[in-house]
Amino acid sequence: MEVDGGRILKVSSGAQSIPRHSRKHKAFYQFTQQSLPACKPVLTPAWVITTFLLMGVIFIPIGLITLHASENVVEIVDRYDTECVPEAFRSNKVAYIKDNSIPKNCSRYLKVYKHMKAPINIYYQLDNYFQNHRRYVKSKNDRQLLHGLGYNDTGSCKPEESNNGLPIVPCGLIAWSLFNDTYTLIRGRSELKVNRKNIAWKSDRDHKFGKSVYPFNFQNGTLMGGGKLHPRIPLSDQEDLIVWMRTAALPSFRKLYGRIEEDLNADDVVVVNVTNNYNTYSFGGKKKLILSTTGWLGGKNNFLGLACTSVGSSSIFISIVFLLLHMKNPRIL
Amino acid sequence: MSGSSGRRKRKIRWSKLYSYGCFRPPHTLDSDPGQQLLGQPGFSRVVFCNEPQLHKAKPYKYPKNYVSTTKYNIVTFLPKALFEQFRRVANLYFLLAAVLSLNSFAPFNPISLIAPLVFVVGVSMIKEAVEDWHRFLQDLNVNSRTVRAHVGGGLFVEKTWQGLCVGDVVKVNKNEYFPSDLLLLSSSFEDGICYVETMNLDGETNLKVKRSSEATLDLANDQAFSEFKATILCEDPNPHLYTFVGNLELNCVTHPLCPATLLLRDSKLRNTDYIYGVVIFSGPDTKAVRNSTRSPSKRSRIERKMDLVIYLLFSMLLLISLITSTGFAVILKSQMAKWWYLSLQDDDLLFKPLKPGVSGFLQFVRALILYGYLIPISLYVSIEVVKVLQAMLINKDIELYDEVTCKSVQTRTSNLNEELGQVEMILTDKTGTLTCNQMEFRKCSIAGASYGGNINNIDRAASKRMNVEVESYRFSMDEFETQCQSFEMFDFSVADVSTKKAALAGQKHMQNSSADCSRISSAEGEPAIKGFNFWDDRLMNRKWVYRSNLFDVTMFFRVMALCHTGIPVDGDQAHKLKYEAESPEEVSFLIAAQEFGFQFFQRSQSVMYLKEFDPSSGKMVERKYKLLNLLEFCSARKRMSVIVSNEDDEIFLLCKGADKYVIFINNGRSYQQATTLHLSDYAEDGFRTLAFAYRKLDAVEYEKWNSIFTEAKTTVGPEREEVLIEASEMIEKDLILLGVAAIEDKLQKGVPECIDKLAQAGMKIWLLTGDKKETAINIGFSCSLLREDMKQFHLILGKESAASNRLKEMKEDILNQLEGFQKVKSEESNKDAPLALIVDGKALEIALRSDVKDQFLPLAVDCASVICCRVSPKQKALITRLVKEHTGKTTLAIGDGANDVGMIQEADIGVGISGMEGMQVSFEHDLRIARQPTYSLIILFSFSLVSKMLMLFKYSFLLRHYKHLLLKIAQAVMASDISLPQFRFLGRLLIVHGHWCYKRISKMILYFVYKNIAFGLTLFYYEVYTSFSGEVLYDDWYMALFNVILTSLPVISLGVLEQDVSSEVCLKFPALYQQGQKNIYFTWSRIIGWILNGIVASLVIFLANICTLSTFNKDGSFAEKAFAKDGNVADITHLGAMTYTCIIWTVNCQISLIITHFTWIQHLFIWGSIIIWYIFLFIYGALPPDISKRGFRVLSEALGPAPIYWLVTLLVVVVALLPYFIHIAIQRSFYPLDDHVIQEMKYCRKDIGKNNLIWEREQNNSVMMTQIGFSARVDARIRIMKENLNQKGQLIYRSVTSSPIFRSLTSSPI
Repeated sequence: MEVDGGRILKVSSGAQSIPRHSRKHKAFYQFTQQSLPACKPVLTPAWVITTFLLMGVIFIPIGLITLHASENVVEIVDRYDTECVPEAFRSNKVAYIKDNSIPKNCSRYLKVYKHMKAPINIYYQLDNYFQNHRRYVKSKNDRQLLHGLGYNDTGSCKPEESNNGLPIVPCGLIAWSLFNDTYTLIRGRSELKVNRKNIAWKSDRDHKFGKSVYPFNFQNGTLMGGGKLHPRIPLSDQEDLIVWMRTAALPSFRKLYGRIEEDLNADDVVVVNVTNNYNTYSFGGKKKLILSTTGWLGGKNNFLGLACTSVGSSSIFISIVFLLLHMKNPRIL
Repeated sequence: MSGSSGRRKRKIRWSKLYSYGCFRPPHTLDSDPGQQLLGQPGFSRVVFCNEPQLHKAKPYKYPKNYVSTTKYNIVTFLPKALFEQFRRVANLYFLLAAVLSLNSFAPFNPISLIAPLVFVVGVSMIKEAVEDWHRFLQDLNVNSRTVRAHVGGGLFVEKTWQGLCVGDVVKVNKNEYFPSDLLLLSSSFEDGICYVETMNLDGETNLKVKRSSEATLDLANDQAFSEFKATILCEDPNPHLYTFVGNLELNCVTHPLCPATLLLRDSKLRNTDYIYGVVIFSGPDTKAVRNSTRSPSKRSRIERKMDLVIYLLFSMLLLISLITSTGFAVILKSQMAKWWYLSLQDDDLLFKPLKPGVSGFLQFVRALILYGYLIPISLYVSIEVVKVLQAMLINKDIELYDEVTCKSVQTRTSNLNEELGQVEMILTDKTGTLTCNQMEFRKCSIAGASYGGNINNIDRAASKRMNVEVESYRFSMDEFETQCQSFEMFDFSVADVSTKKAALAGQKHMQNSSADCSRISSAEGEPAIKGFNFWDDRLMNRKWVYRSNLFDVTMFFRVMALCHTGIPVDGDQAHKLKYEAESPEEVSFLIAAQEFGFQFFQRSQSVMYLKEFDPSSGKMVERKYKLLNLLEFCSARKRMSVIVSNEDDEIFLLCKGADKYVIFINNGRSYQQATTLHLSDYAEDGFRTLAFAYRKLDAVEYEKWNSIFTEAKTTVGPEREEVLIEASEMIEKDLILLGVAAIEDKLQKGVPECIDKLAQAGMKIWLLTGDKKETAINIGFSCSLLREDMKQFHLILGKESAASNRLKEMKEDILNQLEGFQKVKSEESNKDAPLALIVDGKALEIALRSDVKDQFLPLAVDCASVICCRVSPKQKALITRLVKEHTGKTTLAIGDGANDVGMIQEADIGVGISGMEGMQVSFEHDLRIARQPTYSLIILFSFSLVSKMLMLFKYSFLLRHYKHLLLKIAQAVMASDISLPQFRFLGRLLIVHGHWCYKRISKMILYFVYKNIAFGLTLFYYEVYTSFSGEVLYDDWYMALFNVILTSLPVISLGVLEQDVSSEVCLKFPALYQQGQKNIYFTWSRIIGWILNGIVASLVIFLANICTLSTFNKDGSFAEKAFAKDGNVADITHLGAMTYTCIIWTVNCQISLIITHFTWIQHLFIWGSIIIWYIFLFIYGALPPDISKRGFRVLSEALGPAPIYWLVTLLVVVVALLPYFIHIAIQRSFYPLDDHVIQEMKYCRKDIGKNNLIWEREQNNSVMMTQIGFSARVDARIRIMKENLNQKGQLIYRSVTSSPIFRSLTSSPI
């Protein structure tokens, strides 16, 4: 009996002391007893109807705004890979592109159908080009790009890690297959000034490509690759390369070539002189040149706008259906 | 327990007291076939008594008395445990993946695969190790118990159990366990008998008598053993508890030994001061150990189904891997060679156009690893963590804490939490589980008058509810009809005396007698005296002297005080004695007699001494009764009698026994009918009833009979028993009935309520007990498993077939009976009647044979309740297994003793009752430590993966410090999966925690499957765009973090804290539990639904991102486009981060749609996970590019400023969740489940209004289908009452309407 009494005494004193303890203890007790205060939302018909209505109210305006932004973007696309091959070589394009002796120049005429506000981005687009192939993506060396020759372990760059016993800078398949078509744009008489600076991400220029790393032993091999690099310009300033090295996610991709800093008016005709160097013929890839303005959404894309409006309108439709069903046989509670 | 009582006892030669039960049956060597087998194979054991040193060398070297129950030892642990781990298919797959990931072409870092595997396997192995350590400590404790063993020269010293050898002579004292199987040599009683409690072995509560061989009787003290030498030849160790064959060679004379001389390990010496015994079987050879089975590892139903889900996912994985590898091989062969920019050469086997087959195969292996996210190893980790936390919360539930024993529920294996929510069958032990193993004197009927209150709970509850209904009915009536109504009420209450009082109590405006009330309430409370819970003013405090039939009353009390085999022991109070007897009933009778003033205070060889209250003088007087004969209880007669002569040399035969066997040979008296009525009342209340009768004998008749009886006693041979019964029946006739006494086998607190809840929750309850059929039926009534209007089937072996002992006949008998039951069942009138089946152990043995069980089990399963009596532990286990296998339903076995171990291990869930054995102060201390908030806060904050480790540390810490307390836990608890202090906690454990855990785990698994499909498939879709080359869309870090940090905590909070409804609502609507039984939250349609949902989500996420980042050309192709104002184009990194953001948002929002119970923890985890992703992305991007690689400044420079990124996230989340949202909206609005309705009612606070139809409908739903339990009985009673009421109402109405006054009233225009 004494033991019992003692225990009861302790328990009761413990119970009294609980309020004096901090709120933490109470919360902990509630946690262990699984009685923490909780909100228990229940999906009542009213909530369902309201939610769908709300979704409609939010998404339809967003969709319309987005659609509008996308419609404002002016985009001119020109595929030139076939047209730029002389008739004589049309049956054997690969031989044409591989033959260095044949001049590769070619002119394209682009008609501006709508006023384009500066800056106008110039892109090249490659189709059916798997820059995201695993073998390709891995084939570079970030440290070498930043630190140059001082960094010698270039195992990941295989098979383009060295040539004639000397390391290649920048090594790897990506750099080796650098895109090398060039474009000059002429409007009327004058050449349009194409700004080819600041086309790469700033962080890439500043932090990923060394300021004192110069191309070395690049494209000296027997195997034919893509473009060459000026050996005197540090990698951080070779923005073509930097853009190219950002491997695209999809097998059809655009890459920024440069910007036109002046407006193009409607019905302007822009002549583009293309040097058609890059070989996409052996695997049937397409090449396109694109002039495009950007809105706050980036390039032209109706998808987001259409998706939002359709989600919004179907939400409203569903909410009406629910409302009618609910009115027809209301919940008895 | 002083020496004086012992001495008093020792004076008695018990063989005189017991007429034939302990009579030494004469042994003849050739009568027992077993004796001839000695020395043959199987019966070759030789034991040299008192010469243990001879057993140290071969060929007589037997195992030591060390018992081990551990699974592993230090050497075998690693290989054995590892083997166990990798027998799980999932683990094997992960091992394979980890080994493959060591290869160079693996898509990601091998550490990310090996670390979680090591963790999962390691944790499981540590768990195994701790459990085994636990067992080891228990063994250690048992093995280091001490016993006094003979060391030579008559000297007995303390020796540990494990130090005992075969041949050792030991002395065991009262209330001690036998250290091994002993041969009884002698005891403190002169004739070498002793009492043994075998509850741990077979669950029987009555004591058993063991007796030594005559030859060793004189070894009565320590000194006698200095010269003692003997040789025992006996059978080899075997698991048969009830057989033993052996010979004792003492002084070149061979004495046969029978099972009665063998004291088994795990049984306890009772009512005997000490015994001497010699060790014959030690340690692993003992019958108890041979009888024990290894505990099987149990897995829950959901987990087993989860394996199938894993197989499904695995086939999905194989399929997409196959697609990937085939696609790759085709592209490699047809196109890839032309892709000059890849510069494909022979250096890379993975991309070798000349051998697309080889490359394809390697790609297949790669894909298997890459898409491994479909089969989440983290699922196993999370489930383990969640289950441990769930178990912790169950253990902490204050509602499951028993203040009396200071124990709380302990989930000993956390594997089975969710299984608790699916139980359909409960198999329960009786003694110690439902009852306290304590008999109480509750009521008696003497000479036709019933004493001790006469209202039972059922009637009270029924009339209370009736009154409520009647009153509500009455309000709706006009005045005139009200009068009629009250007429009805009045008539009704007069008709049924027992209901009247309750009706009075229910209706406050009527006068009620306070005396009645007080009597009711005192009957409810705890008795002041143990074994005596009786209150009636007419009998208590010597008031019985004023009764008119004083002689009958006196005789009644005398029967109570004289007709027994008990002995008084000193009580703690001055004038009150305590008693010891073979059965607790006798003790309660003796105590009751003492309370009434008939104190039995001394017994000598042939005289019983009473202190009687003398009505004439008003004083206590001592009276001597000469005990002439004692006709012991036997199962055939079901009664016992004593023949005594009082001081006036009048000879009385006092008899008590089962009512049927006493009353029907009565010569009849006026009050017999009333007594019979009371008897059935008592029986219905679940009391055990015994009828008391007496007969006055004249000396001549007695002498004549005595000679016959003495002759019968000395009869030799198998017919002896029959002769004795015949002789007894000669004198036990023409008895005069005195009355009946009702004994309550006291139920534990809250048992009927708990059973009621369980029954409402749709569980069937089977009672398996080692006790007698009558006891079992009584308990069936008292805990509402049986009720009066039930059809009872009694499956018992017929007399002839039982006697013939031939299997074929017995089988036929049982089959016939079963057929009969089937016929009765299929009869039209019995279609809806609840059925009960009562099976006897012997009949059960036949019924469970393979060719009969197909008839037996369907019938048994159909019955509302099943009671099996006189079943052995093995049978308990067998029934459990057969029921489990036959019905395929989840079974739960609950019991407290070692005899329940088999059943506990066999059932899907085994529950042990831990409350009853001696409680320990230290345990309380331990609990206080665990409750200290500071200590426990650590556990709270170690919520993530670390928590598991901490738990284990805590566990082992406690083990080290409190090992003594763990060691006293009983065997049933050791074998169980969950231990409860009291049966009543089972209701909350199952209906609240089981229900919760079931829903939590099933929701959690489904969500996990969804989450990983939604994530894993995006990897696959992206492969299509990379010409199946195996490029991964996401950074390695994103992948690694996905299951570990970014989505793990919300799932864990779902698994630990989710509540569909609160615990009170769960208990109010036990029918909700049936969701678990039907398993509607883990059906295949749900699983497939969630898989489809995952596929849809992954498609939406992936396609929306691809489309957003692309522009559509007029020629139908689409290409990546600028995604921000400055015209830059996204690369793999950006696409990856965007898609990943969408995934994190989608899966976390999805879980917030699943969760219905948001505490701050859920909010923190869900929204915190999303925020952590952004924080991670920001910090990761801020790290130097050497570390962050592709992720460098991805958020701050590229994604963050782009509106398209945020917009697409919003769109994707909404679209990806839309299918699920529409689904639940439709389901909740048009096809709501029970829990949905209840949630909605709770939410709208509709439960407050009392006249709520749906609320009542829901509640009735849960009660309606149940056929057992308290509520069902109340319902049945109400039905009967209403019928009565109707009949009487019509009668009264007819009489009223036909009366002239009524006619004049109605006909006269007002």
